[in-house]
Amino acid sequence: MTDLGVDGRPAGSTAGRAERARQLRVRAGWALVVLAVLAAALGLLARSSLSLDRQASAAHYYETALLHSRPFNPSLLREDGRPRPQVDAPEPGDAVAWHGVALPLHEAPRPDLPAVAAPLPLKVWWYRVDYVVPPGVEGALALYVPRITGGAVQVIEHDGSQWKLKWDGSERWREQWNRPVFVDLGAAPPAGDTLHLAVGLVRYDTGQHRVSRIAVGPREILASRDSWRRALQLTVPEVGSLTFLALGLFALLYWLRRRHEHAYLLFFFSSVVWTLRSLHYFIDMPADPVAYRWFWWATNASLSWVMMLIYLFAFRFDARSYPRVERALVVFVVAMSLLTMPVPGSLLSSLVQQHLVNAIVALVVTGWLTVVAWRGGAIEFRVIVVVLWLSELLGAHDLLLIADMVSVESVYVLPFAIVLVLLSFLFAVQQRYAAAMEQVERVNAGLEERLASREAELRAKHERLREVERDQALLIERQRLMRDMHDGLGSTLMSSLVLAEQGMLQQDALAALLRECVDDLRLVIDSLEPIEHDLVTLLASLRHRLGRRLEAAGLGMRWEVDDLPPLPWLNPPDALQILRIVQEVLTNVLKHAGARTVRIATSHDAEQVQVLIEDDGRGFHAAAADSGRGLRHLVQRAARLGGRLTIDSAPGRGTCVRLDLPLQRGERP
Amino acid sequence: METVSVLIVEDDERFRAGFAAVIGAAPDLRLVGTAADLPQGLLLLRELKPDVVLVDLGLPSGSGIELIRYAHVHLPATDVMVVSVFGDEPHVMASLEAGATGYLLKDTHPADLAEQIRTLHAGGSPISPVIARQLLLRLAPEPAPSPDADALLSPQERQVLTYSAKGFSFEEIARMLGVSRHTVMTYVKRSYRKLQVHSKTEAIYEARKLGLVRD
Repeated sequence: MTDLGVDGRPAGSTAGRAERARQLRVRAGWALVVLAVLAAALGLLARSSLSLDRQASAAHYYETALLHSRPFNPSLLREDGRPRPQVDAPEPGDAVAWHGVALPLHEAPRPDLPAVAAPLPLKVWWYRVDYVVPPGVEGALALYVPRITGGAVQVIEHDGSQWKLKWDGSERWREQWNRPVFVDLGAAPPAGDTLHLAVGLVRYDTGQHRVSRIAVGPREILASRDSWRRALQLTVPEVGSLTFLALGLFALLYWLRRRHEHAYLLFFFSSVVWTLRSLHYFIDMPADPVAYRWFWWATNASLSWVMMLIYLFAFRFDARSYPRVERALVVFVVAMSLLTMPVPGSLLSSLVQQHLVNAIVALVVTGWLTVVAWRGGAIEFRVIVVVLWLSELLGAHDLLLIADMVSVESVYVLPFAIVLVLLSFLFAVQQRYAAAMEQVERVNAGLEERLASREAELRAKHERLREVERDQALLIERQRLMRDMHDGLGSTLMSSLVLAEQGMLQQDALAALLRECVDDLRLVIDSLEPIEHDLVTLLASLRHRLGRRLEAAGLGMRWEVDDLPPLPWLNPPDALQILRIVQEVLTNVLKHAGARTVRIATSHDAEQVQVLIEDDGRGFHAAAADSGRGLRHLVQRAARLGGRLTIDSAPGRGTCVRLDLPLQRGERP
Repeated sequence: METVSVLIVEDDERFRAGFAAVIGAAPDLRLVGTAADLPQGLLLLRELKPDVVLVDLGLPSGSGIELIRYAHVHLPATDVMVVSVFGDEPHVMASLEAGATGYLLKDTHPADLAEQIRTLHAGGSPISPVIARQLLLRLAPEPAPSPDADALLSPQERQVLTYSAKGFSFEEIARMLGVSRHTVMTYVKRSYRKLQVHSKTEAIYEARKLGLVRD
């Protein structure tokens, strides 16, 4: 196949490559523009999610709260481990119990407590805000906490006499880390009234928790902020990973047909692992403690799996291969997965540590890929590298969010990276597919060209062959004519001339001789007429020529020809022989038979055609006449045609000459 | 008695004289002029408008075909009779297509020559088996009839051509069809007219004309 490209169009290939390179540069430019726009859009989204929770006129975002924390009363725990709906918070008027704290806050783990202790002590933190209904605020009110993470959450309201549970999120403590809290507070009381509200968080004392600002205000405003946040934190990861998975399945189906194209299989695995990785954003976690722990392990470990798969995918779009780097990546992934397993004594128990290692490995590998890509990688390879850098940035943001170095109110943005990764994968696959199609087209074009040139060659050969055949036919024709002239016309004319010059020829005799010459010439011309292998037309021509003469000689003609099948072998030379045979027979009838009528008839069977020439003349002893030179000559001629001439005659019974000719005849030797 | 006016266009002096003698001897034929080349022939043709013109194809100053075509277009009342050495198919077909309705061989017996001129003028034409076969091929192709209805043969014409192609004489055909010999010959002439109409619609016309220029 490759030699087609080489010998097919040696001159055009350089221009073709240049054109292709130019197109690629244009496409790369566009790809970069698209990526830049996407990155800008992502940035805007992230910003808008943050600005969602900016201070608004009607909704109040509390940047301080009153905190009361105490050990959790175990009697308030139900059998299943969740808190009972009874509330164990101090009265709002108890100035000693509550003290002010700034929001958002991070309640870090206490270094003085051992990480694992039994039984684990439970503790509750109440964050209280007092909402004085501002003038002009009517309708429903709501409480909204963009993010509160680290434990089971409850919201309570003081009705003037005691605390009442308004909202209980304790059942969903596993998913609490990524779900905003939204609590309906009912119709707003008159302006100036005060609502005492508290957000409670119950957790083991060994843990840590983070609380964003708490917002209270018109339900309408806060509900829209809540739904926006849910869309960004839950829906985007879900839609993104499911889309990726769907395309991954498509890639798998493609790979099943083309097993050597490993990029498609890697595409599929990337989509599966990414979906696994993203599950925790939008599904409910397993309730079983062991399953829960392993689920979290898979969620976090799979980030390194995804990284590896994406890198392996990217490698497939470079001309070189890097088996050692690939092996190193596999070792890294296996090590990370083992090290982070939720078993006693695991080395990397902290999420921050784990993702920090991931981020550093990603930094190194992406940096190295960048060098490789810019030293002559394919365009799709470079695009993937650019996307990897953007993903790296987004991942870094999330790592900082976990590490409390970015506001707890920010949104996890790594799921957005998958959109970019997906687009870059699609671009890469599309490039590869388009290149394959172009190659096919090129090969086809080459084949067509070769086919055309082969056809032209064949045509030329055929033409040459036909020319040779034509020359051959002309030569044979010329030889035949020469022979005819020499034997027939030429010799008769020559002898007539000699006799005429010697004055030994009477005018009548001379005329007869010349007539003989003209007759023979006519036979030659008749044999060349377009009779299309039809013996009847040939015989008819002869009759047309001789009819007047036979009539003049007083010989009647009974013309009883029947249609005959065409004789494929009947070409001018043979036609001439037949004409000569029949003419000679007729001449004999005229000269010797003394007949009154001659009958010419044709018939045929499956094998041969017959021509009968029958006269009612005096006849002769056929057996004796066999020795006659003229008749023998006729028989020989018929035999040369592949046929047979038989003469049936007896004195007083006329003569019947029968010429049998084959319908089909092999090539004459 | 009404006489048939005849013009001879023939470059060979002996033949010209021979034809002239035969026509001169026939009381019902009247020789109105002789020409030895094409320009002279055309000139006389225009001036004299003869009933019949005898024309040789191989004229020194141009093909006789040109003269045939001129007569066919401008003098519909004039019958063109081509003089041929052998009456072979290429020459005869080209002449017929150009507008000739008769042809005779150069060695035709003097008595036959006069008779053929009379017959032609009276509306009858001669035909040979090979020519009949060609006409059938051209005007009555076997698989499907030509879309040009004018060019199609009538059943009688077709019958006459079919018998002619098989070598039957006009007398025999006349007997078989139950008509006169003259009627048979008029069918032939009508077939020639149809060939002329048909040929104009065919590219072959030009090809044949070009092929003829060689002669």
